[in-house]
Amino acid sequence: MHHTEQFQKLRQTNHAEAIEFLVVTYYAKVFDLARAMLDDAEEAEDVAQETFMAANRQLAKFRGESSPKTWLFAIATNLSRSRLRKRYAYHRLQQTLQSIQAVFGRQSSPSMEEAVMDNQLDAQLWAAVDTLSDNHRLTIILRYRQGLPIAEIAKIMEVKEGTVHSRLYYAHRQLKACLLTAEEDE
Amino acid sequence: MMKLSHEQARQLIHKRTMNRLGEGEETKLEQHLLGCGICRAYTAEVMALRAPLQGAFERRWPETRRSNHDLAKVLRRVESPGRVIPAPQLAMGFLAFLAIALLGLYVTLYFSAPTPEPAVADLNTPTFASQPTGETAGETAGETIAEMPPTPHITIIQHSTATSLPPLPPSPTSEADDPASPTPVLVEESVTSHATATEPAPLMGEAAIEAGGAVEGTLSEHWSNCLPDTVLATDRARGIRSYHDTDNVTVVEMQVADYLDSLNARCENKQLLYEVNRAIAFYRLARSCVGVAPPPAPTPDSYVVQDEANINQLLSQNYTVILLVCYPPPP
Repeated sequence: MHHTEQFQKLRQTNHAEAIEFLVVTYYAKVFDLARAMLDDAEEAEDVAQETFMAANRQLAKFRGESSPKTWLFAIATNLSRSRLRKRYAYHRLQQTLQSIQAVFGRQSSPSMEEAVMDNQLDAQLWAAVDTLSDNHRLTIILRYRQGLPIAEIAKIMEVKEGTVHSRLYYAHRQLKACLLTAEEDE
Repeated sequence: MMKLSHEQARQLIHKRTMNRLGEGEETKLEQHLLGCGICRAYTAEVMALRAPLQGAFERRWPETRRSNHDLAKVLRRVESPGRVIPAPQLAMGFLAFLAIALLGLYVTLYFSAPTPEPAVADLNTPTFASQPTGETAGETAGETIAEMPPTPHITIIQHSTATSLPPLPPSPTSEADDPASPTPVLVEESVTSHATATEPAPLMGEAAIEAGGAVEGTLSEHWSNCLPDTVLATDRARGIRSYHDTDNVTVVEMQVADYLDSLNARCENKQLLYEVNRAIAFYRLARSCVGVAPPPAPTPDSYVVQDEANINQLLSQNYTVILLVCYPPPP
């Protein structure tokens, strides 16, 4: 039986089992999404748990118009965005420093971020991804990390499909431009 | 067959990367691509980005697996109404709160007590503050380092070029030097009078060092072992601070040694720290600006000025930023 149908059936008969089903089936995926958005495993764990707590509270309101995965991803996305907003100042500072370093071609002291970079292309890619706005970065993550189709991304981000296409287009162009610049600098 | 617009073509290109194109759509797109160089180029871009992005994401955030034990724990937490905190945890939380409150009280008292040798008075250093509205540092009056609340969130130290920074107020008047009036109030008054001057003269080069006094730049055993090779204790540091409980931004200028002393910096496990394990990082805006002779600024002045404006804006978000100004050290 498909996950969605299985969940719908459980939801109508047994609340506790429906939540258990959600946790067992989607917890790791929700955590992965939150971690990709926040780039912080601890915060992602919090978001993942809060997502399922919210789902537990709102289960009765779930209309079944989307798959449970899309529903959970939408909750996790909103929670992660809320955390991102709180971290906004920190990001701005980092971006400023990164731009300073980029302009002057200097390397910062080794960071955790750099430690996980496998190679130079990864480093260039991350530098490029970091230049994207939250909305564009999230679209790229949902598309390439989570492998979601446009329609699902639109539901999660609560925008029209056309907006997702346009964000993807803009993000692709910006990534390409950043990578080109990085290549030229070498 | 209807022709596709670029926008429609892009949508099909996105769908194609997921193998979600119907037969008709594939034909339409192929026909469009044959006659459209822009969309062909975009297709190539998307295809070139897809694999590296997927690979980079996968390496950075590999897919996680959860054990049944983990999931059972999560489930218990999810199902517990209202996130009830266990009693022992609650007690620990209360004790932690009490400890933090006591520590905060101690730190407040420590910083608010008048010190025998106030940094600002000794250094004869001009200080001023500006509102975090994006204006460049050095435009409005304010407070001194001696008056700073003791709760900076993050410290970042940056190097910059003397030539590219906005002008600072002139050297302070004699009140700041007066040992009889080392109180923050007097210093603040003197600083205010500088800031209201119509056109403050830039404090640069040797003048800045002289203003610092002869005892500046002394290596302290507390932090000297952690000072990076590229940073001299005698380098000029311009510090900009903002605090979560006030709108004021404070700018001070002194030598690195004195700044580190003022932070009570210490060297632990080869790391320069202050307060409770807050790390101090050094950033440099210009290459080789630390040294005997200052090299010319490698970038247009406007960049650094603009950058300072950005930093000022950021300061409204509770950061401490210390810019190191690369004046030449005294001969």
